[in-house]
Amino acid sequence: MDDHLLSKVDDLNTKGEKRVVKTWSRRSTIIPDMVGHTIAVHDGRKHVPVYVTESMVGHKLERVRPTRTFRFHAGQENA
Amino acid sequence: MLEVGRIAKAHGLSGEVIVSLGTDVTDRLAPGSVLSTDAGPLVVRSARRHQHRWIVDFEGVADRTAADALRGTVLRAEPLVDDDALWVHELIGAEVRTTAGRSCGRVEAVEANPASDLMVLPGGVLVPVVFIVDEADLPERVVIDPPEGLLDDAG
Repeated sequence: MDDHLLSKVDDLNTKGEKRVVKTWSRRSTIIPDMVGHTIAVHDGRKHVPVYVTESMVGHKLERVRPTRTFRFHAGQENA
Repeated sequence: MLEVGRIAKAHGLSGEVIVSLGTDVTDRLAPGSVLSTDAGPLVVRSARRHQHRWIVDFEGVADRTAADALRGTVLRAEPLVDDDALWVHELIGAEVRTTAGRSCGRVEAVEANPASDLMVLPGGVLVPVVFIVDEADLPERVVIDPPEGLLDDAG
């Protein structure tokens, strides 16, 4: 995990704050300290917020935010 | 009627077709299910997964020629009633309010994302659906409890 992202997460945990953290570091691995925080991961175009849960620990941030997107439309069924 | 899928092309010689299912409700292709199309209803005889799509055998489609004629057909079905599920078609157009009472506009679209699907708000603001705390007033309104900084800009 990149130091600059780790320091931001550590800072939030120390202060007990819940604030969106922006990062370009898609290569960083999700660690347990990030659970419950919202990381805005850059997808090459914009920052996309990802709420980190326990099941994501161990994965790279790039896995939870791909660079290709799919939009549902209003007349489409999806739960 | 909601779009649940689309017939991509014919498969084989016995009238089967490849269907791209647009819904995550795979029961739509259960044997005996009736799907509406512009050319009339189609009844599913059988369906099986094929990579990321489905091979479907519809009643009355007996050969390759009949299957080819269905290419590009949009499959529709009546909305399901499930109060526990958060439906995309209900979210789109709903007003988004924070727990503090601030209005954030209406949901313009919903974007698929592995971590959590995202509501697209005016100005390109993205809000993960996990932040929805009250959906009782859907399809009119949802209430979100966003962390600080989420609604500030579009990234």
